Amino acid sequence: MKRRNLNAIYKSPLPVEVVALPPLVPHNPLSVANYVYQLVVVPFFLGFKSPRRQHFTAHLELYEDTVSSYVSSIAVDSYEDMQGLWKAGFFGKGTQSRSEPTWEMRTAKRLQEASGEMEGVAPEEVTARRRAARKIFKNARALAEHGIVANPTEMEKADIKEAPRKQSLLRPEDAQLKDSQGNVRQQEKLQLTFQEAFFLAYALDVIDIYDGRTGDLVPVQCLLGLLMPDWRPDNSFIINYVVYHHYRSNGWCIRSGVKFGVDYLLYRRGPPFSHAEFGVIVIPLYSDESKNQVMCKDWSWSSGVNRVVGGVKKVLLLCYVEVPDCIDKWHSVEELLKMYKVREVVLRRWIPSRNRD
Amino acid sequence: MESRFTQTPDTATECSSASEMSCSGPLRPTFDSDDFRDKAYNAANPRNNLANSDIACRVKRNLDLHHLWMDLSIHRVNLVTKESIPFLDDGQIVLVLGRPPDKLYSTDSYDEDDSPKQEWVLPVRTESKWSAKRWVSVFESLADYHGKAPERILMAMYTDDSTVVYYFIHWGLIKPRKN
Repeated sequence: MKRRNLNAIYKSPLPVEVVALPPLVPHNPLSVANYVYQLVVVPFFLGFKSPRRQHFTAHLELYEDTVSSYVSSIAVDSYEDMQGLWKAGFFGKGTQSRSEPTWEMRTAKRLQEASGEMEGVAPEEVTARRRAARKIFKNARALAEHGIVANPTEMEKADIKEAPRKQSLLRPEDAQLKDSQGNVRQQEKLQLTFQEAFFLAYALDVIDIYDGRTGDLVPVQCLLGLLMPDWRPDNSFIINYVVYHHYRSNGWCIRSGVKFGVDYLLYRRGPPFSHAEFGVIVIPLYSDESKNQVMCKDWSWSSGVNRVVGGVKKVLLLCYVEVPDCIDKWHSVEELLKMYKVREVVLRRWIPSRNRD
Repeated sequence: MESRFTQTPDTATECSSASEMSCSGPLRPTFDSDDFRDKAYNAANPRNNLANSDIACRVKRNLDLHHLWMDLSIHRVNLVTKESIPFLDDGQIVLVLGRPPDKLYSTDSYDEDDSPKQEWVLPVRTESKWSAKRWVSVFESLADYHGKAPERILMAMYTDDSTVVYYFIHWGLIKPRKN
């Protein structure tokens, strides 16, 4: 299998284009001309037609109550936008995939059962192979424990690519997945969290969010009001958004940490490059000390979380967000965000007999 | 996502009530946005027809397309106890019944026709709070609905980025299994 060139596929950490200008040499007309071209001509005359500038569209479906059975979501439908958003910063999650939206590719492979050409291997397939191999190992171990010594050559010859129980990967339901031409219909979208969508819309301005019901474009100013469940200064959206914005602006790739019992995971470059380094838990800090006392967690909580996070080889990061008393008076989103302050504390377990550095 | 530290509404601060706040910034939306939401979403909203629960549909879709489950169906089960469970519709909870492509536990057994056993899936939001009493009421309601209580249910927690995290809820103690 040919190794993918990750640096070529995931070139930019964010969907913005950065042009590095060489130093300006005033007496060289070519240098001056280049500067004028890059600074004036490209942004003002060619900017909106430039193929390098990316812009995405998403649809918002919003329901009132956050604990109702109806789910508010922001999703990107088109294939190009889904790939573009994933490749430039790892935004969003494919609704039928583990992270990268690979459902169509995997389903086409599965339904045609064609293993001839490898246009790409999805991360789910890599995981499936690893799990199948582990299942074979566990079966062998179980047999060995029962005193049945399996023939070692048979074990080696076992085809690791197949699932241990012989079964077809096709189901009767799969007939509905194909359209009249026999192609797989796309059933997946890229779902963005509220924080990701607001970051793309407000901080980077690379996304247009349309109302799923009326089809109208939602302007950024209204978007904040719609995404916040209420106007309390410690509402769940704004605290999480402050943390999200903080780490994105510092160059981290930040994704959901629900699989590890934390709020966020911080990746140095992104999921395909390496595992997450930090697991972030967001803690609001109020100016009123009595409220902080009420929210206080004891040592058993922090010990438990630390253990879980350490068990998956990540470091626990407690992110304290200082919450203002009131968020009434602000005239721009920038002013609102400036009212919040972020402080980090890294919690690492130290064992005197082991850690000597 | 819900911050686990956020206070409940009844202990909220003075600036919490949206209607009381003075709107000083021109960029703050007016509270037409509440009417906007009401009008846009309640008019002829299929939510009023309680045949489908959105969460259950999403979890079912995830099981169907992502995890390749078979024979999926949505069931509305009447709650036999008076326990208040989040997003209840008329004293009913919505569950998904399906068959996984392969057995979920290494110690499971297969059905008569060599297919994995059917599983009950309870779709919830990660923000909702569950207690042992509520789980017990789900098991008892299933016993009432299906004739026999299942030994375990799968709790499917839907998070806001569409990740669904699945957890087993067993009735009673089970032997720990080797990793």
